[in-house]
Amino acid sequence: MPLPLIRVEGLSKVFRGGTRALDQVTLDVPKGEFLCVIGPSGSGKSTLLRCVNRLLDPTSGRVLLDGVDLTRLRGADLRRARRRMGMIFQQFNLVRRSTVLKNVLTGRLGYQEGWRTLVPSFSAADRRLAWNSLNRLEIAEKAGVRADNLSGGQQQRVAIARALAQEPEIMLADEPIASLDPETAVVVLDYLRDINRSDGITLLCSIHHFELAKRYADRIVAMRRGQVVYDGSPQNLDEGAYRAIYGRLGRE
Amino acid sequence: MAETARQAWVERARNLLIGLLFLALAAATYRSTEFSFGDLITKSPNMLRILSGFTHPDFSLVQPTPASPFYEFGPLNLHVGLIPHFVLETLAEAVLGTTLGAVVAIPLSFVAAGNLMRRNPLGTVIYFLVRTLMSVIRAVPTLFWGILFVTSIGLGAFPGVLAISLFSLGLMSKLFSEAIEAIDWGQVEALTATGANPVQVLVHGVGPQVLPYMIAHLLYTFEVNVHSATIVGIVGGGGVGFLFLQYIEQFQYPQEAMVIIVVVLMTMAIDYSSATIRRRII
Repeated sequence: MPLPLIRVEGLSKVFRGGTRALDQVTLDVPKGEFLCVIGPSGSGKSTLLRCVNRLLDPTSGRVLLDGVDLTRLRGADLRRARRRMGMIFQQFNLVRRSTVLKNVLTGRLGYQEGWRTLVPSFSAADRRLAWNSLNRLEIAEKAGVRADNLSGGQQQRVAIARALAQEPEIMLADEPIASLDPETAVVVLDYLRDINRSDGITLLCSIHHFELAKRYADRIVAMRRGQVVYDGSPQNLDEGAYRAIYGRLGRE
Repeated sequence: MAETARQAWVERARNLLIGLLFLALAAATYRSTEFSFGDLITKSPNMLRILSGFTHPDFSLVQPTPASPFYEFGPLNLHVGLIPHFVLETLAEAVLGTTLGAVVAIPLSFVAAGNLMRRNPLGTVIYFLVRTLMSVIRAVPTLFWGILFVTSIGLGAFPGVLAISLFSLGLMSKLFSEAIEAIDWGQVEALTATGANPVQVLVHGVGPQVLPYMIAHLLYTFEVNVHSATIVGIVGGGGVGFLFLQYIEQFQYPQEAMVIIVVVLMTMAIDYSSATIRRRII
């Protein structure tokens, strides 16, 4: 079996104050897969994603990207690893006062080296990539608009374009649809699936919406209290498994 | 039921007690400041004499005369009246003082922002050192700085500018660092996740968030500095405050009235335009 793109080995995260958000999590993300992580809020989905690109430092365990241990990287090496992983957030996290184009261009920051990082300008190649991403997300006509003048769905498309401009191998999507209405949520997930299928970009997506996860995922990992409680195909996730994950909570 | 009634009673008694305490405090300070309504009445002719200047302010002081000196402003030699001459000096002090203060305050404010610095022990130490230094600078009133500089350097606008820039450095570093501390951290995380280095995160993620607030705070500080530049003249720091002191000491009330009129108009004009610009950028 070939090496998975991401391998998480015995990953634990204990926050100051003692909360154990991740407890010995182990899972593989093969290249090209659309993997959804489900589970109730507080189950550790978000912490898992943020430990992968080291927005959080795990307490113990390893995260391997193509066999390289991300938890040991520092400085420039860490930044070069991060640019291979796009990230999408529940609150979009666009630079709200900047234009759409400028936001997408920031996806190229990880590729600037040396003195260029000190100058707030982008190469013609970077600009071309940014425009391609905007066209891909069908939001190029808003390029000159300030990000905070867009609707939630449009902002999330710009955020995906920013991640796409990184030319990433994997996208980490942290509750990408939790702030959107149901129709917009499906539009955003369709874009993510298209990026996954057409560009071969692996997707690691946390999502608490059970039905949508089943519809879009190749494989589902369910978490509860920081532990993986299910890892398998969406088809086998039935009513019983659902109850095991969400406890005695009803269907949403 | 009885419990809530009792609570309400306790609360009312506490409020009454606080009220009485303040009254006692006011009564004590009334005596220690020798406050006297009697004096207010017996001394009113004096006040009326000063105010009488306003019935015939000396308008000749705002017009240039053959004898009035030129005000050098860059390549320009402005031929203006006596009061405008000193007012221009006051404004120049405020402009230069604000600029010098801002040049130092902008880098310092990043070091004094808790959300950027308190991420490791070294950063926390620097943060507290800079914060403390800035509060000390702010705690010394502008006039104290003015007298200290006038005494050590001599009379004129230069010590005035030093006093203003020092105090406004303290003010701006506080306002700027608070603006930095109020940023949306999610935007910083998003740029960190792209692989951007800390400088790039500052330029592309923090900068756009704080710049409008920094400009607004800069304008507000300029308003404060126009006030300060007016006052430092009284202690020899240059500008229109000098005329204010001179005319009152020489009982020249029509002249004094003219100085007050010009200062009030100038201050109002600057406060109004600055407030208008500030509203537009935020």
